Order: sequence, then structure tokens, then C-alpha cells
Amino acid sequence: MQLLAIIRKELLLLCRDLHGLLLLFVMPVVFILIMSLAMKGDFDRRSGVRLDVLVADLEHSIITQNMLAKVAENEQFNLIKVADLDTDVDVELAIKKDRYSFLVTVPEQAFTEQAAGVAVADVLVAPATSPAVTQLFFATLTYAAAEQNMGLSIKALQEYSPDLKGLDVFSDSKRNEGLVSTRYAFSAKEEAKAPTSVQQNVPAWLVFSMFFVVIPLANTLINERQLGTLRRIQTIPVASWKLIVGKIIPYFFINQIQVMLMLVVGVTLVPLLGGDRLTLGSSVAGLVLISTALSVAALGYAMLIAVVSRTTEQATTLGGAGNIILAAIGGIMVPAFVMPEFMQTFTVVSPMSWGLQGFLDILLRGGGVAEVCPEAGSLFLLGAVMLGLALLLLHRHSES
Amino acid sequence: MNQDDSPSPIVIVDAINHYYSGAAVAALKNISLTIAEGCCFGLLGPNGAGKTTLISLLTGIISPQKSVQTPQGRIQISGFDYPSDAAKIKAVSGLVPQDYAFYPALTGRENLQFFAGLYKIATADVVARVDYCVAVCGLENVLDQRAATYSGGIKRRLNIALGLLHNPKILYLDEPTVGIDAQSRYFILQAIQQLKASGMTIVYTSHYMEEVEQICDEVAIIDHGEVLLQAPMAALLQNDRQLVITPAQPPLPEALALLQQVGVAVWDGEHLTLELGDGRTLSEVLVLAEGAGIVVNKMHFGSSSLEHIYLQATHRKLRQ
Repeated sequence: MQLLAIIRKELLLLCRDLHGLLLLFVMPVVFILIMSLAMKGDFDRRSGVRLDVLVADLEHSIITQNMLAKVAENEQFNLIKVADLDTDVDVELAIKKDRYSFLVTVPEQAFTEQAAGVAVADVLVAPATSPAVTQLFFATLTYAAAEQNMGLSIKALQEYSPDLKGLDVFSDSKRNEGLVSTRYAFSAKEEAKAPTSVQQNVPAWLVFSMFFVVIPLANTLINERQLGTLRRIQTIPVASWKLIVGKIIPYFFINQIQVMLMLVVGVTLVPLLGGDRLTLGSSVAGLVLISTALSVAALGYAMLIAVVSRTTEQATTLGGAGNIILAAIGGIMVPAFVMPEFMQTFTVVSPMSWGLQGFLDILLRGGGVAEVCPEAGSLFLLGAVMLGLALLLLHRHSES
Repeated sequence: MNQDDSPSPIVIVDAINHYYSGAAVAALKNISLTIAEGCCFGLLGPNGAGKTTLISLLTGIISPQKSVQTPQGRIQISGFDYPSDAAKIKAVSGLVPQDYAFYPALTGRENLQFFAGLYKIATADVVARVDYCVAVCGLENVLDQRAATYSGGIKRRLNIALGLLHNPKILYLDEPTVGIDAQSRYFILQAIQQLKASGMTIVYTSHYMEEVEQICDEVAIIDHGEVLLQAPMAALLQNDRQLVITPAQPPLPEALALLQQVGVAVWDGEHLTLELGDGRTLSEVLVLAEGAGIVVNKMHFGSSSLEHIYLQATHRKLRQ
């Protein structure tokens, strides 16, 4: 009965705390939408998604078609003919607006005129295309053009010397396979799979927002202390654990609603706005386990901040700044896989990183309960230690 | 007073000490007092005297410190001993703190329902208890408004209503009328009189002496953590042979010397207190005073004012 009264009171207070609700629900949704869409291109390049290349082949000969076919063999590039676009598309403007990465123009009689110093292809590079990708594309195109040139040279030689018949530069391409062998310093494990923008941002900002229960939770406890309600409550025979559990339970459900809401946003809203659709994996039990464990850790952290802070300003500063630091370290703000190796090792310091990796185990790597057990166990343990400490301090405060 | 006729004490505080951690001076020094059941007991003292610490001990907010108690040190309330019967003592005690100790974001009704839940009032009884508290404190018209929107007077009344929810045997009111208008103060004092008439024991702290004079049966004055005096109000104020004059001008030394001839005359900077010796009548003393050039502005005879007694007991010194 006492517990129910406390839970009901906490829910009423939270429902009437507009700023708290905005912080817990609107802030992460906004972050997910902005970051998923803003970082889409960068994540796509990292995760091997093909870059769109516009091609205007004015010569349109067998030679230029062969050259472009050679470029298209590189899976990194998706060649789109300008002729296939709508007639009203201004291709140069489209490149300037980064809708495509490159525009390749092959002039009329490019290969027949090249002896006169005319380039066989002109490349216009979009502003956001990275220099590394530009170099890669340039090398690919140059190799394809050189191959055609070599074919033309051999053909000319064969006309002078019939003994050279049978020599074909194109047949050598098969022989080129295996010329260079590749080894990886790290085995290509499932964990190395890079997430898409939405796969990174939904769990990342979800974890971030779950830890933000610290602000409303700490504020209610501090307000109780400052207003004197805690003093009144201390005159009533009610156990300290009920006061803590009664506060935690509503926020636990708030955390679970956050998880569901953010996943729904990733599955429905992000694709509607042009982003990728979030894939949910196949383990509901694993998802429940990691979100429960993360909530326990977040609530333990929130209670500890609430008990050690004397004013709402202290709680907001400690809790808010603490969250931002944990997020920066834990690969929430900057994905861990873009960090230098020593920084990647450092991410394990932040419990937010444990939660994020747990979610990625499910959403990205197709894992289940067994795969999230290490992260979930660590989060449960941390949460229990912090809650125990908060209870101890609360008891000590009331004693003094 | 005849011991057989006196009501049994509901509160017994015997030789209690208390130190706050880090403080060099004791907050309470060997405090002893008793409060009779059904009485309205005024607890007076300057700021920092130890009133709040004493109330915190009596209501279970802080626990008695074993290490600083003498062997006879004890607190007994309604027959229960601290700290062994702490839960039972809390069940019979109600506190109305000086702060507005409720949730401004909740309505009056929601606040009452929350605390009713904490007091484990049976669901079937909650409505009746809430209705009773609302009626005593006159909250009917504002019950479903958020407490944040209440005026100061209504907030004070809600604060009192919350302390009454579990029908306590003893109610501690810590400055319940501070910062409110005369009408609200009158209403609250009437409500307290009503509670007292119902048999509830009231422990009342206030800096408004006229209120304490009006509603309290007994007072204790504490300062520097010590009980300076405890006495029934009637006995404290009764003063058959003392005339207290507030003159228009401070008396001249010659006038004081003249008055000393008829009895003890004490000038405290504001009041001139004249002890009437045996055989002197009031009219004779007044004639003498006027003869000595004293123009009477105001005077008391036969009873003292509580404020006068309070200031005398606490030596009028300004506190930090």
C-alpha cells in the first residue's frame, strides 16, 4: 500500500514535469532523427555502400563502353547514365548538391583524339566526396582507360606484325587475379561489422536518454528534501527501501517505454524521412535483458547522484555533465569504430558503452541472450552497487 | 498542583543530550520536560535554541544518540520508549513542519491521498479521514487545485490537514501561522482550539507570544539547548503584587530613587516594574509614580505578559 502510494505519486509528479518529459522522450527522438540522417552518407561509405557515379558517354563506342564496364566491376561504384535521368535534371547542379559523388564525361572521339592531348574522361567531384574515395575512383578510371589504350596499341601492332595475332590484353585480366594476396591483421569476426547510421544512432541515443532519468529523479528527491516533505515522511513509519524502490519502479517503466519508442522511431520514422530502416534482430529476450540491465544501472547512477547532490543545480550539473562525459567516452557521440585504437579500448570505462554494445549485439550482430549476458551482467552489478551505496547514504543522512 | 488531579503525561523527556556531528556545542543539554495528555503545550525559544532538534527527536526524524546520554536519559511518548518503539511512537504522532511539506505539483486531494497511503489508512477509511481534515482546515473549495496555486494561508491549512490524517494522539505544530494574514491566523487558531477540545495533545512552537498566551495551557522556554522554565500558563502569568508600567519617557534617576523607597523598582529600558510591598495599595503607588514625574502610557497589574517573561528568561540578547 505504501509502495503503491509512492509509485502513484512519482508518476503524477513526472506526468506534470513537462521539462522532464521533453528530456526523456523528445530529446532522444530528435537526436536519433538528426544524427541518423546527418551521418547517413558517412556511415554508408564506411559500411561499403556503393557511391553513385553519373556517366555521360558522348563517344559511345565499344572502347568507351568497355572502359566504363571495367569501372563498374568495382563494387564501390554504381554507374548511372545521364541519358537515363529525367531530361530536366541539371547534372552539374546535382553534383554540387552532393546527390552523386562524381560526374564522368567521356568526350566525343575521346580515344581517337587523345593523341592530340585530349583527355579520354573528365571527372567532376562532388563537394562532400572524401579525397580518399576520389583517389580510388581516379585510379580505377585511369586503370580502365589505360587498359583500353593498351588494347588499341596491341591492335595497331598486330596490323604491322601478323606474328602478334593472338596477343590479347584482355585475356591477361584473368591472370592478374591472385597477383596480390590479402591478409587481415584481425580476423573478420562478426563484431567487426560496421553499423549503418540508424543502427548506430538509435541504440546510442537510446542509451544516452535512459541515463537522463537522473535529472527528473534527482530533482524530485532534492525537492522533497528542500520543501520539507522528506522531513514529514521521516515522521511516518515507512522503510527507506520502499522510498527508493517506489521512486525507481516508475522510472524503470519510463526507461522501457523509451526503449520501445526509440526502436519504433528507428523502424518507422527514420525511413519515412529518407534514412535506413532499423533492423531489430531476432532476440526479444535478449533485448529485454539488455534494456532491463541498462535501466538498473541508469537508475542506480541516478539515485546515487540524487542522494549526494544537495541542490537541483548540483544534480543537474553532476548528472548532466556526467552523462555527457560517459557518452563521449562510451562511443555514443562518436562511434567507437571511428576512434583511434587506444580510445576504443578506453570506451569500456563507460557503462553506456556496455549498454550500446549489448544493443548492437542484438540489433546488428544477430545475437541473443547468451551474447548480451556479459554486458547485462556488468550493468546489473554496477546498478546494484550504486543502489546499495545510495541506500546507505540515504540512511546515514536521515540518521544525522 | 495536586498530583492526583493532574492528567498523566503523554510525553516524558528525561535528561536528553544531543550533538550534531562537527558541532562543538550541544544542541540539547540534559533536557527534561513533561507534557500532560490533552493539553496545549507551548515550546518557546529564540532561533537556534534547540526547539526543532527537540521536535525532531520527539517525532523520530533524528534518533537519540546513545553515546551522549546519561544512564537515566530517555524519551517516552504515549507509554512507548524511543528508540525501541519508534514505529509505534510515529504512529501516534503527527508533525506540521514550518515548511510547506507537500508536493506543489499535486492537488490538495492528491497530497492527502498520498500521505494517507503512507500512513496505511485503510482504503475504506481514507475518504472519511480526508473529509474530516478538509473540513477542519477549510479546504473544500480548493481541494482539486494544484497546491502550487494556493495562497500562503491555504498552504498553511493544507500543511496542518496532512498532519491530522492519521488522527494522531499528539500533534506537533512548528510555527503554523508564520507569514499569513490575520484572517488565516484566526482560522488556524480556531482549528487548533477545536483539535484541543477533541482531546488531542498539541505541542505548539511560535514566536507570536499573544498566540501562545491565547491557546496554550503550559509553556516551556528553552535556550542554548536547556530548559529555562516550564510552568502552567496561568501560574506563569499570575502576578498579584507587581505593577508593570510602560512610561512615555524613561524615568529620571531621581524618580527611580524615590520609587525605590516604596519597594523594589526595576527599569529594564522599556518597562518599569514595581513590586508592591505589603500594605501598599495600587492607587498609592500610582500617585507616587505620577508624583515622581512618570507619565503612564500603558500598565499591567495582576498578570504579566508572556513576552515580558520570555524576554526576561532569555536575557533579551540578540541571537545569531
